[in-house]
Amino acid sequence: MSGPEREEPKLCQKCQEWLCSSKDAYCAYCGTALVVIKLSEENLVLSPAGAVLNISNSGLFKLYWAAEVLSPEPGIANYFSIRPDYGSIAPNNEQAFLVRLTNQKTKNLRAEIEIASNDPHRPIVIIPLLMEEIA
Amino acid sequence: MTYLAERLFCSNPLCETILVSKLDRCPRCQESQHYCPNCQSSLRVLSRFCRNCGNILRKDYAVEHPDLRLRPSQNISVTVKSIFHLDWEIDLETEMTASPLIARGIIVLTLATGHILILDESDGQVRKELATNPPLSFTPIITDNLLIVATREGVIAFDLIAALYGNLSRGGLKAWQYQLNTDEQVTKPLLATIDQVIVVVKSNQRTKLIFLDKKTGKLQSDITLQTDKTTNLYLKGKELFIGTKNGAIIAVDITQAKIIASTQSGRGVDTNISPVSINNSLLFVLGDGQIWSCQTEELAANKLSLRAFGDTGGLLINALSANNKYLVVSHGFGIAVYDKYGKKVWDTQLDANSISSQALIVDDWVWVIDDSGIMFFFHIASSVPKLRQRVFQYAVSLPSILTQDRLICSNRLAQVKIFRLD
Repeated sequence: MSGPEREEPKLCQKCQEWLCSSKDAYCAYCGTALVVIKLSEENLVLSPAGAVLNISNSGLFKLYWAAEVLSPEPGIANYFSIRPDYGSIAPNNEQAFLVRLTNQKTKNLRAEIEIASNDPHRPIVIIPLLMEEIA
Repeated sequence: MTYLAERLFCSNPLCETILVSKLDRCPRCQESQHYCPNCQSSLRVLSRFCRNCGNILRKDYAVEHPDLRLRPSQNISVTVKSIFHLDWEIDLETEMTASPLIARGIIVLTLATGHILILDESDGQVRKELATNPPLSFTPIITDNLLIVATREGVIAFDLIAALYGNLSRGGLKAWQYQLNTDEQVTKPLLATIDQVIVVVKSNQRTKLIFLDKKTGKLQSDITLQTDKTTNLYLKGKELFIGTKNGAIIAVDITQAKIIASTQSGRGVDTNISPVSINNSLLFVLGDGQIWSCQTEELAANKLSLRAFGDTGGLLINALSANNKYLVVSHGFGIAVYDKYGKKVWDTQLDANSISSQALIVDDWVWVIDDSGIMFFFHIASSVPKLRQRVFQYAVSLPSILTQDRLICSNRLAQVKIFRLD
């Protein structure tokens, strides 16, 4: 299995002093995180058509992310789909993913989305999934 | 967080060879490596943060600069058997009056000839040589990415990242220069604060404290003192302390560049001996060889007063060193140890040789090199040395420095020996 593709070293955007490697999590000179994940929503309201969440990267190197649905109740996670459920985002770019409920007849589900990334400050982000009233 | 194997990639971002184990130098690009004490990631020299876990690396050591983390209290487990394993040495056969400066993987040697050598701490390989006008008498300071040196003409700041990594960083080698007048001369080691560099300048039998902007070298303010000789500066929090030949001890608020308190002792202060601090006491040696303490907590009421600190019984004091528990006095025949209340713990004459340099004290352990070049190593509980070993051949040593895993000894003939604490 091959790892992430190698990126060229870059000068830290903040201190402009230190050449950073894409393997680095922090600038070794000023301590700034080199990959920064930003999410368009901190709570996701799920309508019958689904919901879209934007992930953006305001860091220096590529952001690698993966998302999955978690639920305290067994099997509930299988009622949801996430497309795409992983990806990589170049610096200053964004990517959207769609969360849908595959079984429209179910109600009052408790679930959340866990997004794992290489952002050293937020390696795991939990987004609660809120259900709109489903007819 | 990266995997363990990834942490042991060469820290040079242009190389990134797998190091397999914790090597001192990358076998491919020869980049010197040091390692995060927290996560063991390989790091480039001058790193201030771990690139993998973000841990702050407190690895600046210099005897003359209390703002650097001089001899941090650390739980070292010292075993006499293995402590003095010689790692590497260098003999430059010239004069060196300034003790080395160690900062995050490099050692800076300041030679009286005007040369500044930057060596890799791992094996002593010369990374960069800088030249200024001689003589260079004091240890430079490293603050942010600047190496700031006091020369005959003035104060010069070199960009260390430019010096070590060449065109990988921005700007040129010389970041700024503050020019002194022809009748002015720097008389004491520089001191760096968060945003200033403080310079002691003598001119026409008067001494001035000059406050320079750290980033630009521009003059911010100055204070004139009515004396021609002072002790080294001692920075404690935002207060700067200085003793003068005419007996005044002065406290300066560095944020306002203003004298906030002073006191007058009955005798002149011995300006050749650097003040040291034990908890809230600042210790000075007066002209009669007695040690007096200033209570820094009184400064809240803009007061400063002096109290006698123990009885040195007429010792010929050459240097003081202290941690928060003990004071070690280097004197004409050996060393004496006092507790923090001024009570003598013990006094030993060793081989009856004079000791000119400061002892190194870390927790309950003391290292000292006498003027014949023999190093003595003590546990504070006993005046009998646990180990004695010849380090130099009849040369006056400079104060030793203990880094995270190395003991750095040097002398006035510019011989430097590095012992690894394995």
